Amino acid sequence: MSTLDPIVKLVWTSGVGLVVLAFSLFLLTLASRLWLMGKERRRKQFLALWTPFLAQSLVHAPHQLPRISAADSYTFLELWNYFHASFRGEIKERLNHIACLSGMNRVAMRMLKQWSVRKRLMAIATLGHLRERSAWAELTRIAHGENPTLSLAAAKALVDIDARAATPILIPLVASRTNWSSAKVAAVLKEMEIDVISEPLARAAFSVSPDNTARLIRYLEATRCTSALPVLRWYVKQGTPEDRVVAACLRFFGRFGSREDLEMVRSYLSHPNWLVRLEAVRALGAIGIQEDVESLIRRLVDENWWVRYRAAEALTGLPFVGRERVRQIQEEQTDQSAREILAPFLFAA
Amino acid sequence: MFREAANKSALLLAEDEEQMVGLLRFLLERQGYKVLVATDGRQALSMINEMPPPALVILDVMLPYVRGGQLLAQIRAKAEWRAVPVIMLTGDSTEGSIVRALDAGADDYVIKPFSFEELLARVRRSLNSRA
Repeated sequence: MSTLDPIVKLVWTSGVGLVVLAFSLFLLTLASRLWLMGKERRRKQFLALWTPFLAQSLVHAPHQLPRISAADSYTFLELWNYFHASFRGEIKERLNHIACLSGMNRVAMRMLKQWSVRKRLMAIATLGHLRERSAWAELTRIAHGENPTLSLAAAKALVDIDARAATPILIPLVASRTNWSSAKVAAVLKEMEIDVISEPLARAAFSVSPDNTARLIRYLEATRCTSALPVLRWYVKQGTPEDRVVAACLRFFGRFGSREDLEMVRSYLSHPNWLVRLEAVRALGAIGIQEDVESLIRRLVDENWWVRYRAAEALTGLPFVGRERVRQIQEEQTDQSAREILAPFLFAA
Repeated sequence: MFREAANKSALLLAEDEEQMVGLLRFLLERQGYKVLVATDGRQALSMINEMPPPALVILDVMLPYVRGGQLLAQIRAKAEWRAVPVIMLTGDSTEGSIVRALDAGADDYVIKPFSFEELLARVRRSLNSRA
C-alpha cells in the first residue's frame, strides 16, 4: 500500500487539479458570456435611445448633444457611419455637424492609434466621411501599410477627403496591391469622378507587369472609362501582348467598343488560347453585325465548352437574329454538341 | 390583425435594417405619413394578405424569408392591392437589377445610398400619379 501512495497521491492531485481547472474555465466562460450579454444590452439601449435622437437631430440641428461616454463611442460611430453609408445629399452634412458637435472627430483620431483593427477601421471610415484633413498624413501611412483591409479602407478615406489629391497615392497602390479586394477597389474607383482617374489609371495599366495590366484594364472597364478606348486599341494593334491582356482588352471592346473594333475582334476568333476566343465571341455578341453570324456559328463547335456556350449566348442575343433563325441554325448543325448548346437559349428566347 | 392600413396617407415600409427603419419612419411620419413597418418578407407577406391596401409601398429588394421581387409579384396578383404604387429600395445599381424591378411591376426604384429628399419626391410623385 505504501508503495502505491505516491501514485494515488499523484492521481488524486491531478484529479483535483482537473476539477479546479474545469470549474475555473466554467466560471471564465460564464463571466465572459455575462459580460458580452451586458455589452449587447448596453448597445441595444444606446441604439434605441440614439436612433430617434439622431434622426431628430438631422431635421433640427441641435446646439448641444448629450455626452457620449467612451464605452458608447464605438456604438455611436457604428450608427453614424451606417447612416452616412446609407444616404446621399444634405443628410451627410448634418451628420458631420453632429459628429463634430459631439467631439467624435477627436474620438476617431484617438481610435486610429488603437491596437484593435475593428476600432481602427471604424476610425478610418469616420475620418473619411468627416473629410478630416488633419488625418491625411496618418491615413496615407496606413494606406501604405501591410494589412490589406486597413490599407484599402485608408485609401478609400483619402478619396473621401479629397479625390483629386488622393489620386497620385491611390493609383500606384491599385497597380501594385494584389492583395486588395478587386470588388472593393472597383467600388472606390467608381465613386471617383471619371476625369480624375481615367488618364492616370490608363497610364498605370501599361507600366506594370502583364498580370497587373489585365487587372487594371478590368478596373478601367468597371469604372466605364471609355476614354481609354484609343489607348487600348493602339496597344492591341502593336501586336503580341500577353493573352490575358488581349482578353481584358476584348472584354473592354465588347462593352464600350464600336464597329471600328470589329476587324480586330474578328481576328481573335481562332486564337489558340480559349480565353481569348471566349472574349472575342462575347465582344462579337455585343458589337457584331449581320455578317458575323457565320463566324459565331462556326464557334458553336469550338473545342472548349465555354467558348461554345458563349457563342450560343452571343448568337441568340444579337438583335437581328430572331427565335426562328436560331431554330433554323440549330437544325442545320450536324454536330450534336452544337445543337445541344443552342437548346437552352432557344428555350429561354 | 392589420386593420388600420386603409388610410390615404398610410405607407407600408418593408425593410429589415432596424436603424434604417427607425430613421425612415421618423422622417416619413414627420411629413404626415402613417408608416406601417414589416421587418422581414414573411411579415410583409402576411400584411399583404390580411391588410387593406395602403397608399404606397416602399419595398426593400433584399428581405429575409421572402424577397422583395416575390412580394411585388404578390402585390400585383392581388386585386385590391394591384393599383398600389410600389417603390423598390435596392443596393444593386446594375442595369439588370433595375430592369427586373420595373419589369416585375415596380412603379419606381431608389438606389442605396439615397437622398431622403429624392425618396420623398418619388413618394409624392407616385401618390399623385395614382390619385
